[in-house]
Amino acid sequence: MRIDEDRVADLLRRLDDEPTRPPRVDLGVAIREARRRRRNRRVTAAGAAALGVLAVAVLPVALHGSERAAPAPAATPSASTPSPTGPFLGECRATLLPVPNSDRGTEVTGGDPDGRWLVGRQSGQSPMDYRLLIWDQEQVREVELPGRDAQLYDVNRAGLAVGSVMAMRGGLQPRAVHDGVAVPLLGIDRGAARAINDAGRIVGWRFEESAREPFVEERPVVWDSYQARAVDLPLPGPEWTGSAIGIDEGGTIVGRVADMSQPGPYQPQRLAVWRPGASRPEVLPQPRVPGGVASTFWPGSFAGGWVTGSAARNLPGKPRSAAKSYPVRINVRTGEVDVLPAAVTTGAGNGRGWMAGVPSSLIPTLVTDKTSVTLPGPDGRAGSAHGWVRSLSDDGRVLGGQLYLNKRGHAVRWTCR
Amino acid sequence: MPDASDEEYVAYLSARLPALHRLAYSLCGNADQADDLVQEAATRLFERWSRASRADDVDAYVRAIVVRLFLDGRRRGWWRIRLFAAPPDVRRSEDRGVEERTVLRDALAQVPPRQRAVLVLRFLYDLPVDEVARSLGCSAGTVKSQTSHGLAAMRRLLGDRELAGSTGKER
Repeated sequence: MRIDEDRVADLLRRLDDEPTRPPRVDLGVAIREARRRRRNRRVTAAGAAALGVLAVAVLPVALHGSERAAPAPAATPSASTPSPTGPFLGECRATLLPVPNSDRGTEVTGGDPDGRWLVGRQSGQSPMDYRLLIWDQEQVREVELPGRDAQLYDVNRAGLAVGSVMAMRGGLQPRAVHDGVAVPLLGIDRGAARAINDAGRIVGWRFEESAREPFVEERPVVWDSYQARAVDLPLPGPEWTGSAIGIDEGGTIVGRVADMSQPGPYQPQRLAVWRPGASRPEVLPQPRVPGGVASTFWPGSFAGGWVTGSAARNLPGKPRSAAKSYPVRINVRTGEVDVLPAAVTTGAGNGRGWMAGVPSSLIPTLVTDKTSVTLPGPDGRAGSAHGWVRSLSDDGRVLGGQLYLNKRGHAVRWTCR
Repeated sequence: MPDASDEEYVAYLSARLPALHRLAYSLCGNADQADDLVQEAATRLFERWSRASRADDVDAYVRAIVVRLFLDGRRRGWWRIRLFAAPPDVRRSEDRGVEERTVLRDALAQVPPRQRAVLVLRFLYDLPVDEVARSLGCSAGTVKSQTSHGLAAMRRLLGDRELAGSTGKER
């Protein structure tokens, strides 16, 4: 018989299954960890004023000579941007990347703007147990990083990678991988590093306990180098929360921010830009999408002035879950805003404003200025495998991600011409 | 050195660990992740114990911590990666309901996290709408709409599958 929704509710009431084993929770550890956090909060609170001064002191250094940070000049290719070797034809092929253990699931989670370096991970013995992988062209290197859910988000042209790990004690921790060795990033209690530029500046976020307990809120931070201590980036106001998600070669940082003083359970996310020299972030207007102005914008990547992300517009009289979502790119140098023609969920963007991700079919797709390319599986057929895209080189010719084949994820590189 | 407040905390929570672990398991479908959720919730609770222990309903307070930690973790994408060939924990039991529960749990695991949390709290835990709204920190209206979307999603996922319980009687 066909199941109706009342029957589903009835079935759920009977779903009285239990975990396959008793809980492994240590209350002694919980007490010690809670006390450690309290101590850290007291220290942080005492140092907060100093940190605030530092943050403001660092940013205005470059401000002299300009009253307000003017948008940087239109995009100019950096010296190291590879020159395309001819017009982009949109012809791509997929290559499964070499991995240390071919029985394990693998994926690419980031890449550098030239497409030389890809970073990723391989699953371990248990869920959330991963070994980090770094590919330099065809060579793969494993990186030891104790903890759970280890992940690298970005790598620069020098091969310096950043990410995070859930430490056995102490929660989410930011890490950098320098020359094959994972090192902790300093100055925050809990948080993650999300992006790095060629100058070695790193951005990310730290967690802060919220007065609106039991939530944890995010604060955007920047590290001047992988050896420097984190400094808070200023937020638009005292009630705002946010995180930094990208930094370009000129030092411009972007992130998402939300005004938590607004009523209701959901505060819209907005795009914030911290320009070099400015003492405050610029909160950009929500992008226009078909039918009106977006209710929320979720930036996914930042390269060469282009932010690519997802904008959603709530529909009048409809629940928030019915909001329609659009892939959008915003150029923070020129102010240009485009709704991209193909409906993909952001996976990665590049310095040309191209975007790669997956539509609802979960077939990896590249969206350029002019066209949409359905990426192939290893058999060469476009759209033959489901997957994700997580990196896109500036010339659009190298992509990294995962293809799902034989019930397992495989790290993949697509090369296009 | 433990004080009276520590003892009170341990006495309170140790009695509730199995139930909290079960709630966490219902939400994330994996015993290891359920451990992590409850371990973190226990830490958060101790940080606030002097206030939380005076709350009108401490159980509801702890439940809210677990649910919100679950949703917070989902938002950060822990769950997304399909690296494993094996499905999440499956109950190793020979009783005849096991297949049905596996099918239901697989479907539940595919429902978006917020809808899943609402379904778990309303139907597995039989909590009233207002209580679910407090746990999630949203309005009663949102709980109702999420319930409706979640049930519709479950129905689509289960499709025409025949389940013993679908023709069964109320217990």
